[in-house]
Amino acid sequence: MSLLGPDRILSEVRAALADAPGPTIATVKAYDVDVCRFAESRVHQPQALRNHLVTVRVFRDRRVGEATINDISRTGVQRAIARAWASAEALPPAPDGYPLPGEAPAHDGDATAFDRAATDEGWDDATAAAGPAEKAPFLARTFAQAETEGIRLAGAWSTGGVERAVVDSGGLERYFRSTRAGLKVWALKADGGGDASSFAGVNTGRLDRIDPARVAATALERCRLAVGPTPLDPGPIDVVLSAHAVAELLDWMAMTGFNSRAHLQGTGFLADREGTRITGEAISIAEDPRADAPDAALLPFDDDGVTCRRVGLIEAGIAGTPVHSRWSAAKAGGGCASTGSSKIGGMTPDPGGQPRRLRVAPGDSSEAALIAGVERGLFLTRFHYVNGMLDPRRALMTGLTRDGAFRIEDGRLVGAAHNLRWTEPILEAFQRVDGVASELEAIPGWWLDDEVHLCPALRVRGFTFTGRQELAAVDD
Amino acid sequence: MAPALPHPARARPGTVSSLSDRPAPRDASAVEEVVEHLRRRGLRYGEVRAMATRNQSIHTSDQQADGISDLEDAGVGVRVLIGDGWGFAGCPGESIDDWIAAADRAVEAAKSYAIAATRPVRLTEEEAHRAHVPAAYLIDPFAVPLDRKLKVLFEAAEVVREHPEITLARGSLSFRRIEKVFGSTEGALVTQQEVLSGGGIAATAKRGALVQRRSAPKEWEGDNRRAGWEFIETLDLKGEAPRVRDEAVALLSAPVCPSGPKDLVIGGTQLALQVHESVGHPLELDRVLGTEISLAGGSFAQPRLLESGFRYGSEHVTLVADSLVPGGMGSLAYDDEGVPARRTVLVDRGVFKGYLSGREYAAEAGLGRSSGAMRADSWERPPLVRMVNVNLEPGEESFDELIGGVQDGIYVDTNRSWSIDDLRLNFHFGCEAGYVIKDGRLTGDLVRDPGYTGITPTFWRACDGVADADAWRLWGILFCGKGDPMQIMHVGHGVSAARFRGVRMQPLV
Repeated sequence: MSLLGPDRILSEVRAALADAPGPTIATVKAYDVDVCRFAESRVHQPQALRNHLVTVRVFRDRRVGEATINDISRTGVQRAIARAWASAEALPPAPDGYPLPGEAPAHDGDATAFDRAATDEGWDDATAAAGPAEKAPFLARTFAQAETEGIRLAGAWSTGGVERAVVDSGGLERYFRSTRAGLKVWALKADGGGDASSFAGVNTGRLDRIDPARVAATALERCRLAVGPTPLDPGPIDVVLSAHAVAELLDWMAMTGFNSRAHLQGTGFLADREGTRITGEAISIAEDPRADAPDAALLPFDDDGVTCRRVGLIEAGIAGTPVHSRWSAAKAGGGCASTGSSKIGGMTPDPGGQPRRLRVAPGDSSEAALIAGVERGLFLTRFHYVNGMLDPRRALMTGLTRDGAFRIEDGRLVGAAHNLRWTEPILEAFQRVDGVASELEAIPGWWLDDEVHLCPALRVRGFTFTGRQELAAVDD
Repeated sequence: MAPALPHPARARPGTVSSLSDRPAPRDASAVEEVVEHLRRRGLRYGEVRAMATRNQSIHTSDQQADGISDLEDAGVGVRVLIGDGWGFAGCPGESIDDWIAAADRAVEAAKSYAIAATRPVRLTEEEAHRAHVPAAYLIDPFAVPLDRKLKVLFEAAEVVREHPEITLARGSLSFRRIEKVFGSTEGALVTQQEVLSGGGIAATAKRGALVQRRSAPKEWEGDNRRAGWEFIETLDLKGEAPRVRDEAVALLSAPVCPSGPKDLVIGGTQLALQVHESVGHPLELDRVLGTEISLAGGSFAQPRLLESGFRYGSEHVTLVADSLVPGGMGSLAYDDEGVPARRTVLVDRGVFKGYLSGREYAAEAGLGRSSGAMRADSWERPPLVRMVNVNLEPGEESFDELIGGVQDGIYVDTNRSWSIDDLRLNFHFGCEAGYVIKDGRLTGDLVRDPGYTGITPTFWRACDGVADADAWRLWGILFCGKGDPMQIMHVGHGVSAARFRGVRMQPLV
């Protein structure tokens, strides 16, 4: 494990900031992660990933220049500051109300999450240190076991540590570190011209909270059920969406409705609808970096160093307001405040607020009870290639099923169906939710590197399927 | 309506003297030192890839800069094969001691995973090339002042915002400089430099709850080319602004695109994405052989179809993977296994002929040689099979003749949404605009929210015309995601326009 540590970050960045030509904020992200990627029952792509990025924003007469470098040394950070300073000269001024470093308190709101991070509760040395030697023996055994049934395994087993720090020339210093552990397993079995496939996965903050044998067993069990799928005609079908399928919907809702950009542009589904009903009462979704969230979801502060706060986005079906960064809050005006949702850096800069801990409020059912409440329908393990750009105002999306679309008859899983395409305005689908599972799963998001959604399984009546995979098209 | 076709700039070779402005020991001798260290560890194969990258990305809304990201990143990645176990490790920076330590971590990983090996790993034979390949460009984009770059976007935005129903004028420019040094235990040593440039604009129009958008020259990040600032000048974003503005506003009054079967002509920017999703990705051999299951899925295009002469499309459809095309975002001299650029026929007059591949996957499939398509998006990630330039070869008809062959149909262009299943069969695409075709001509009427759906081979077999070389151009895609953790790669597609019969229209409402 080779992270930077708070002392090194502070000493190098403080020294560089001391020479900065204007008010400056530095955001540091570092990681040291071991990813064991396997497929066809062999480890084909192990990756030991280690890097750190320092992003500086320099204020020059209310113009903000930004630059990022993967060099934590004082001279490296100074080079980034010089580049940001040069950029700032050409830029238009930041919106009125966008505070300079030191002008606004960062510890506003509920500081519970930060306090928890300060106790190092999110860190586990064994998880940080885990590597190939811990993973290879289990995989070798499990590959061999699966082979006895003619099943091949694929997936990824990730362990490691991340750290975040924000330091500014106004005296702000925030730091936390946490560990991450995740295991995803696909089980595939040759079945006619294609494969029956299934999936199981778990994400947590500690390696010892993963039972790899149980994850693999779940994938294998579902794979046996996935063999021999039959075609199903498109149309409205009652479904139970697994937590993983729900998370894919949230990925797109984050981008097309819950972020500040969609709201400010008036294109998002929350825009102009605050206080009105947009889904059924069963649905409550919040940006919720709560202190009692699962350890994989720890997020004490944002890239501005502002404490992350709970934001009710949809409360019992009623539209709330989006998340904000300091920049987008200033842009929105009207007393709008940052919700601790700044996400900077990356290749497509957006100074607005982005949700990173979407949490769907749990219900009181088990997943099995949700399935038991369906006379004829489908249990959907995962979605594939969802696209939410069709009509963002309705959250109209299309996508496909993947890794097990299981038939439900009289409340029981009885077999599998061929993969189907669905096309559905999700706000309207959420009006037809009549069951929410009590268990939340932590599922990494698709778009942002530290995004984790907390999702239950949902039962949706009359989900709209519009096409099929049509494997017969390959029969020559 | 023929799409506007800026002529690609004629680039000359240029040498980038200092790619990241950092005092850099990224010279070949440092890489060779790590390679020599690997040789002493007694492994089957090892490669060392040092990379330094500078990215600048500018995004504007109206007369405001949303942000300018300026990223400088350098480090080394080491990939080794011991027995039948792979190992890969990367580290940031330029310290040779750190590089050696990364090499040792890769070796230890490979030793561990060799015990979990379930089958032999073979690599196709490849000559150990030694070469230096400078970047080709006319004007270094990083030498162009930022205010000049912003002016290009702000001037276009001013024109776009002239209509009161336009609520947003967005713009973006993106520039990248990459320097790579690749060395292998087989004796290869290749240094390469790349300069990439691109940009685009978009207009958002709003009337009540209805929102429409038009973009130029292409959706999202615009068009991109392996070129310098001179490519931005050919885009003429200010000149495109009136069309983008007027069409976005006109779409607010346009009827919704009809549903059901229609003859469809697909313009270049959308056809590029159609090729990308329904030809490029399914013919990546790693995906075909099952090694991308943990993110992107598999492919219907299994080797048995290659052996049986599977009809992928009609006789009008010839597709090639060509990393030799000048200026393409998928053009390269050597891939990240040191394999030289080449042209590979994927589909010849409709018949399935080949794959995009790397050395291991080509050996596994018995192909004899790699297509030279292994690419990594940074020093810290191992190479994957990626698209290079996957091109639809031009046909015989002019664009007007292509339209002339449609009695009742729609011409669509500029992508708005995209979705395809995990075997790359069932797809659904949405476009920004549809143009009505009646009796062999474009009527000038627009339809909004056009979308269409199909099954890959059925769709390509319904192609009965591809526009000729006059309508053919390269398009550059900046963000293609693949791998786990995801890597983002730039790729190219050369296309003209093509006509498809009886496509199922499924509008985006």
